[in-house]
Amino acid sequence: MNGILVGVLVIGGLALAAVIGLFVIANQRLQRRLPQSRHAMTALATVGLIIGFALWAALVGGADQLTGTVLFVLAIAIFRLMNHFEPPPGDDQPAPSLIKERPRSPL
Amino acid sequence: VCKALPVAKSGGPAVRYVVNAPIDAFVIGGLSFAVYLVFRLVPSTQSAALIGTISPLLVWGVSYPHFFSTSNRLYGSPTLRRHYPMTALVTPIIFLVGALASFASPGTVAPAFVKLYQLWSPYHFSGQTLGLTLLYARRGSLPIDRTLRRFLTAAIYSTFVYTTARAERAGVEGRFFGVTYPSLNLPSAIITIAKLGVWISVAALVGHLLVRQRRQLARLPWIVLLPMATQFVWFTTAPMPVYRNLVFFFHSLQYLYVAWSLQLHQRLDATGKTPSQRFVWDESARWMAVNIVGGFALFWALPYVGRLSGQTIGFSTAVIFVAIQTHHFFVDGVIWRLRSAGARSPMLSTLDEVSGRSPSDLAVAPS
Repeated sequence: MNGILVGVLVIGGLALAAVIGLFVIANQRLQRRLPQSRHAMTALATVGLIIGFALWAALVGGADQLTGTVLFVLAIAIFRLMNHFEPPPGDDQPAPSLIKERPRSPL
Repeated sequence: VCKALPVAKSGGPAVRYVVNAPIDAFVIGGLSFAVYLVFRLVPSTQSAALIGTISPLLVWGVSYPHFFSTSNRLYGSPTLRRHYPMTALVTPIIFLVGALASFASPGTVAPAFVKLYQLWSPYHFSGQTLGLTLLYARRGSLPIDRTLRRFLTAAIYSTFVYTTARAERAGVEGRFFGVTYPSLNLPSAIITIAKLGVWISVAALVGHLLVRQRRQLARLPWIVLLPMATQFVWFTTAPMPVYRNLVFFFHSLQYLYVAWSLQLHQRLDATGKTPSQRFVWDESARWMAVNIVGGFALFWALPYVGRLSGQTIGFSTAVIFVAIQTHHFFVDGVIWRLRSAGARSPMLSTLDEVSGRSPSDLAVAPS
């Protein structure tokens, strides 16, 4: 049971990271038209955290030590992620780029 | 924002403090230290009766108004709503859904919702501590380079990890009003590692500050390090349940202090009134009255609305409080960024500028 739980959490975490990654890609391409999309990622991370805890509460009503440790690290990582994706107004710094844009031909 | 306001000369004593050194020191950390020392040296002062007498005053007069002041600031400003449409419009829906799901599933979703709040709360406190540190550094015209910022961040957030690990240790069951929630059941090794992390990050920060001093770089004024030292008292000292309950009040007081200064400057700019002590008193009273009434609406009235679902008032209070406070954590992380020119300009001003005192210290800001 514990192994399954950890597996679900790890896979869920990876899936969440993948979804966030897709948003980042979309953000790179749509940044000019949709500068607030990073807030959507923040909201998404929050929802992911709530779902993660709901999963934990639903399945075990409390965590064993390994699951609890995984959740603890996951929570800290998501909180840090949320800080990373919140741009202040007037911040003309580009979003942290995970993709190198191809240099355009001068022609 | 505040283009027409006179601002004090950058970096001098006139702008180093929001009001002045003694009052800033008292609000930002002095009160926390003093109460801690009294509780430690005179344990009989930690009486439940005493705390029961003063806590309603602290909660309704400071803590709950501080939550409302954030909402008031965001939703009362069309400019901020336009700047942050996702934060202003989408996040309330997310937390409302979380609250509704908690009412629908009191045994499963509600404990997770409360757990999210319990984990996020000390993280949010750490964010404010770092924010105050950077604010006072800017006020002192002290450049915080990337390396120093990283050392400060590590030292501050290590206390969040440690206090959370301690709260989530094995065999501890938590209760927040009418909701009981289990702990993350962390092994004692995690707590030991987290404690070690605090010592290492503090040692690294001290070492870095000593290296800076040897290189004759600008020395950090004491007020810059006070918010961090205060958080160390809150999060790393031996637990005292009564003191821990007061930490929310200390945090709220810090917040209201800075928000009050910002409000005075923005209000003066918006109304075009002449800086005077009368303006400071009138506007302070009006602003606090609005925040206190708003605090009652959020934290007294809404739980009774939630009780209509058939749950107990304790359960409704827990869920509504979590929804409001997590929304506050989210909004706070967005609207107070010093990189935002709209927040930075008035946050670096002083009380003297709105009260019309000490004109010799002031210079007209370039528009």
